[in-house]
Amino acid sequence: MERIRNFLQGIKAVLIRDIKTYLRYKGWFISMFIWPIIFPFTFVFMGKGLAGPSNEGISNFAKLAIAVDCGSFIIPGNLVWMFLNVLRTLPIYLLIYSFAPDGVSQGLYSYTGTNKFFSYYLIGMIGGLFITQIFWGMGFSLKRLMDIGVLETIWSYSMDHIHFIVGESFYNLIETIYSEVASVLIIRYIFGFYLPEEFWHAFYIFIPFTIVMYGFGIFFAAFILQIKNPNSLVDLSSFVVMSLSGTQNQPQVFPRFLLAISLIMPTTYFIDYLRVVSLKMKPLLPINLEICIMSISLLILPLTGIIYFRFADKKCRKIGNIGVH
Amino acid sequence: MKNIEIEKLSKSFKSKKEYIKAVVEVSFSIEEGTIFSLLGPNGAGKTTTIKILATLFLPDGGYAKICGYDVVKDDLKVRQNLGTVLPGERTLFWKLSVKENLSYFADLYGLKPSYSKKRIEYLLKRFEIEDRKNTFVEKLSTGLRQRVVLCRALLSDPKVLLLDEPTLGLDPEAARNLRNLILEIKKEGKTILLTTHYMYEADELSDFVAIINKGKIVGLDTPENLKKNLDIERNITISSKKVPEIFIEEIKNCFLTEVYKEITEENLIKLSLSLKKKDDAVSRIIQIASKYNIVLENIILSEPTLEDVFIQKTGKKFTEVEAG
Repeated sequence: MERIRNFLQGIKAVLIRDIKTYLRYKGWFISMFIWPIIFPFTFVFMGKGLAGPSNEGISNFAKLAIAVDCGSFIIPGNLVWMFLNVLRTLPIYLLIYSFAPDGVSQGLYSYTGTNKFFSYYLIGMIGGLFITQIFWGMGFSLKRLMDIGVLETIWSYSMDHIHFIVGESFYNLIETIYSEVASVLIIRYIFGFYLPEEFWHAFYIFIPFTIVMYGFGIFFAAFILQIKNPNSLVDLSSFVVMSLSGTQNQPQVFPRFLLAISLIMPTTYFIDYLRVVSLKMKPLLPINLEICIMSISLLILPLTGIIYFRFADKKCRKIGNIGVH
Repeated sequence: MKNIEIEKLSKSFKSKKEYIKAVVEVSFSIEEGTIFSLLGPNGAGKTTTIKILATLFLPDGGYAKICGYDVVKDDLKVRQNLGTVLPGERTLFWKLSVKENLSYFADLYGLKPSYSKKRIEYLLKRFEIEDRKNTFVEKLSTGLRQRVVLCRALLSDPKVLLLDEPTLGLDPEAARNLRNLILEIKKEGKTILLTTHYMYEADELSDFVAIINKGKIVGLDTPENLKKNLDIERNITISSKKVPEIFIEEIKNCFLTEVYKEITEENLIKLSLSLKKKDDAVSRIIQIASKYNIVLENIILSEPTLEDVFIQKTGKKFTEVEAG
């Protein structure tokens, strides 16, 4: 009981610290309002572009008729982006490829059994943002504390270090929920797109999957403790997890070696499950198998994360580099 | 009761090029209600010892106990009995106020809110920073910030305090105020282990001093005993604008002692020597100086200090070790 009380008290402390700090940096505070508005723009305008001036594309989409125009429209814009970040153009390329796999339009319907193009991507966006924040949230909080020089001090306090990093993630979780709710509301009231009602039937999956993601998050935090400056690796792993989980395209379009990676990630099944329930589409694997994989992840990942974190923490104390960044 | 016990504690660090023995079989124990200083130059192993006690480093050999709890096996229990002040400017959250910082760390300690509220009020008053409780830490002077850090270390009313270079970077007045606070804390029965490379600080504050160099303890006793056991009784410092080498040689031969030469900020040449007996050294120095037509700016006689103990134990001055 005492342990639970201490844990909750620690979470409260971190949450209050983060909220107060956030509100005191005016730039961050302003971005909190702007970010949810601009975040869906890519998807919304791409969707509108695909739909056409009278929404004819939405129905055409299911009839496999929009691929060529879509590709020629999106590729030039993305060539500019390629100069900034080559890797990030791949999801868009794969998106286009998914419309026309062999030069002949097949489209999302052929792959998934749904023609609700926008809902498909909106669910991917919500799942992806959720994954990103929890996956990297704890690690980045740890990195920030290392950079400002307080991590050693915090580490000398009597709170269990795992409890502390879990507490560190709660602010990110709240921020994510805020961003997602704001995005969904903006999409609904400004752009007129709705999340399918069935999405809420799948909502319960967020609860067990949060635990799975915490396992990942703790694992990543341990990784940060060990290697200290992971920026380039984070970009790479972010790309791998976000893209290969199918947040922006259906995993069926991946080449075999990428599909193999995609299919070993539980995040793929989380997003697929959300879409299957929400859009009544075909699952990647039999749905019971997907649930089984997620259940195994629920047991294994948190445990692995905790074991690795304890190992990394001990290793850092052995090497003597907890406060080093 | 011994609140800190260390026996043959060792810690080494490996880098690509070398293997550094930071702490080599260090042993000591500290009784409740005493101040114990680890005195040594930079890189002597003081911070490594403190960090092992704070459970931030794992030792390679030996053991360390805080209030009977082993720092490796019972790290959580150890941290519950400790208050730690680590060196560095940024150990607080600068965008939070003094009170918010203290509340945050009180929560990390798991203190009950009703207790921590009263404790914070008490400490703010005690350390005379009550009027700054709503000030952001970034707006405080280094001295006030260090007071907040000390308040934080005392939040849980720990039995043991570890203070790593607590007055580093403070102006003389702030450092003096902080030293007074440390002495007051001791009166409450706390066991305090502090590291410092200021001789006068160790001398003024400590019940016991351990002189540490290259990871080894080279002397451990009360400051008085350490000085009493020296085979010197008096220090002499001579300053002059011009000092030929022949004068230095004659002084060496006359008193049979080592002479240390330094150039001061005022461009004066300063010679320091330690004498084994209180004799008529001054008149003899004046005689030798007049023989070489040297005008002495001043001659200072002083009692031996812990620096002399360090020189005797290591054969080098503090500054030489740090420069080396």
